[in-house]
Amino acid sequence: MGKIFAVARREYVSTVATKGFIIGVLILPAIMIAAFVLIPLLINDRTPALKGVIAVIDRTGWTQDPGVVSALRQAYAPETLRAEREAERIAKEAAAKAIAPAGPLGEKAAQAAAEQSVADLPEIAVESLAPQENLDAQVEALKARLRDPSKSDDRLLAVVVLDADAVHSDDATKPLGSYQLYLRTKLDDRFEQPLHGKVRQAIIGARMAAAGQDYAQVNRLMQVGPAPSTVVTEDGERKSSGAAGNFFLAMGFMLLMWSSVFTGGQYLMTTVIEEKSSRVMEVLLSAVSPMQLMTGKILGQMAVALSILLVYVVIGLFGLQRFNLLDLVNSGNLTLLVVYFIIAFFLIGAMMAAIGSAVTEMREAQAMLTPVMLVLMVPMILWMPLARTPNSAFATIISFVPPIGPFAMVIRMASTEGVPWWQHPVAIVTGALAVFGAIWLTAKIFRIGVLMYGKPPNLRTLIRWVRMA
Amino acid sequence: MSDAIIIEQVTKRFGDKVAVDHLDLRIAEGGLYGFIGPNGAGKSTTIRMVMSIIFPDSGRLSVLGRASAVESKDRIGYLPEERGVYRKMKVAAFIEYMARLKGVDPGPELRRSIGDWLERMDLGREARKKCEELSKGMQQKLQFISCVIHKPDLLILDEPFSGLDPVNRRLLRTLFLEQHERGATVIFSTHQMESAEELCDHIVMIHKGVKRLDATMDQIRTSHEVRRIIVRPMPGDSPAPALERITGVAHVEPVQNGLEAEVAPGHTPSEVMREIAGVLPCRGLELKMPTLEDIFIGIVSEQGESEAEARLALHANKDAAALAGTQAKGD
Repeated sequence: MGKIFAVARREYVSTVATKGFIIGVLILPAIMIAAFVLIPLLINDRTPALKGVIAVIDRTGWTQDPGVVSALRQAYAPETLRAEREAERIAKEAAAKAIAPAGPLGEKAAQAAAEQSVADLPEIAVESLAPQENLDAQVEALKARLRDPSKSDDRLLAVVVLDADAVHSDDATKPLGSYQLYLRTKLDDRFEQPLHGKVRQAIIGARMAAAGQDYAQVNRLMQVGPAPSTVVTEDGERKSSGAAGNFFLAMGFMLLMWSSVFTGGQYLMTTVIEEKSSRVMEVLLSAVSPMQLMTGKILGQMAVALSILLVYVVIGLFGLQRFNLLDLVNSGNLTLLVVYFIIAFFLIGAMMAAIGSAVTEMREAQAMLTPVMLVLMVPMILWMPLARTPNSAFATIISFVPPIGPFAMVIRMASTEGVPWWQHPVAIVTGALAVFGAIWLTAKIFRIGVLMYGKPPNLRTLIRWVRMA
Repeated sequence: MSDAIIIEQVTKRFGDKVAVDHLDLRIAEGGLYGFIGPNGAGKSTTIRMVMSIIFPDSGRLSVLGRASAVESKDRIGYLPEERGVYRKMKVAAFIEYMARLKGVDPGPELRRSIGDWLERMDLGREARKKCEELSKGMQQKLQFISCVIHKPDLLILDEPFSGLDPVNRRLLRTLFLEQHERGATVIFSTHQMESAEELCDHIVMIHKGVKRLDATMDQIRTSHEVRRIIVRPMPGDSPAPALERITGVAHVEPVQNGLEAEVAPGHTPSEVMREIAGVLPCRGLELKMPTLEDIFIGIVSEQGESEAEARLALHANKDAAALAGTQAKGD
């Protein structure tokens, strides 16, 4: 037992204490977390405050109140703009808080981000121009001012030319007219889009007045406030994320398990090949039995894979907590995740150890890895059907077929419907039996393989080894 | 004295090839044994079976009083023919790991002992380097340390001298003898007969999986009758015809600095030497003591193989060894 532990310990330390591992497994997630906090601080989304004039040529002939120009003036009044800006800031802050990490630091970052992204109050005057006889010449003159702003003292930003039938028309069969907008160059889209909105609102207001309707009244009737949907769970309530939550959780669980099992398995195979190719194997076998060596190596690399899994589970939980989805997971399915991970790791790890022991070089291992990779691809392909219909006959059967079973169970238990409780013990027992079978088979290949050099074995040779040992 | 290793009727086949054929062998405790024979003779296979790395098809083995080496691995130090180190591991850490696998308790005592060994082997400054930074010779010394660090009762070394320069070969030889004096049973295999001749007090010769010789050096020297006389004539003389006329001389052949005369059947060397001295004025006259190589070739020829074949087997070895030597230097 002490020797197995010594092998496992070396295996763990020599894998984890390398630059590649630390960078790949620990630093990357750390950078991701840092990015959540830092990027909102770094990106300056602030719009420069605008000052200038919007000229409106009103050809509608509508003189009653509210007119298009007066409505537009109202829309650009400082108090209206201030109210709009505050509403925007509140909405942005809420959005930023949803993605920022918890805690005072994250909150501050969200506030800063929202503050940054709303524009300073613009100072915009709306100037009404009476249409002249020669409209084209009038518009051309204004365009010239837009084209070359340095020549004029006032800062003309835009020219709005309202169609004559924009507000009312005698011909009821045709749709009402619109307007043309001419803009100075280098204007932000954060100026242009609201301007369109405001002109449109102003025209609609005037049309309603012309049609004898009360705009304020209609507007009130048209509004229905936002209604958040709330999911009622056993231990409280949360906002609904749609069914996507469970769906992505199933994928998350599976990918998490898949990548940690595969990374650990790869390490395991590589170290076995390294021990063979550096000829340290026979030295080791004079001190430990092949079975002890193999067990120690599998346990050591399992600890490595488990470390990877834990790092990502912690990051994942952190993320779920941020998005207020923590109730999707509970200690029960996290424990099951670890149990299925151990089964999956032993199954895949045993295969990887057998391959490592049978070949002399990494290059030779590639060809033998193909069948293992094909098996590993199955849960990836089946993720969709398993997550959508977790309790179909197919899903149930495949859950008991090693080495895909543990992956299938993990996908199913995270999906919306859940798995009948009795299937967990059955899947665990079949998985455990498969683990014993795999270890037994691998031990036989391992015992012979580790001392064989030269041509990599084919399937027949492998079977012969199993029967020989 | 009891036996450290008992091998009874052990046979091992690889496919059609019989690597070891009904081998019987007893290694006395505290002995210094040399396994000799050409490459492919079955030496390494025998050693690997003793170490329980591979298992015999039939026969019985006992190592240090146990049924197999698995149960007494911690009391055995083994330097395999195919030996390597963890390239990325630090030198001292590698020895410590090997010691732990041999059941030595980690702690200050182990660390002190590792330090002492590294100093002795002139590797003191390399303790914190990675194994891959060491030269091939240094790695060999490192491997030797890791197979004696746990003070084994039985030390088995498979071709320990291959790839070593003369200085390190001498160092290793001294360390061997030290282990032997400490009371450990030492077995080493080699195809270089001279090394075995110099070091061992007991020789086991294996050829084609069969034990051909199993005796102490003294027994070998006395049992193999000396039948050759080296004659060194006075400068300028060419006495070959005169020698051939002597009745006790069967055959004369020129060797470096003189002639070699074979004693004819029915005559004793002392009688022939007296005759030669009477007939020829010589600068020197001596009995030629047989080397292990001669004995090996003698035994092999007795058993039906031609002398030329036997020499070829040995010379093929030497060429291979020479080649391995130059490659090692080139690395």
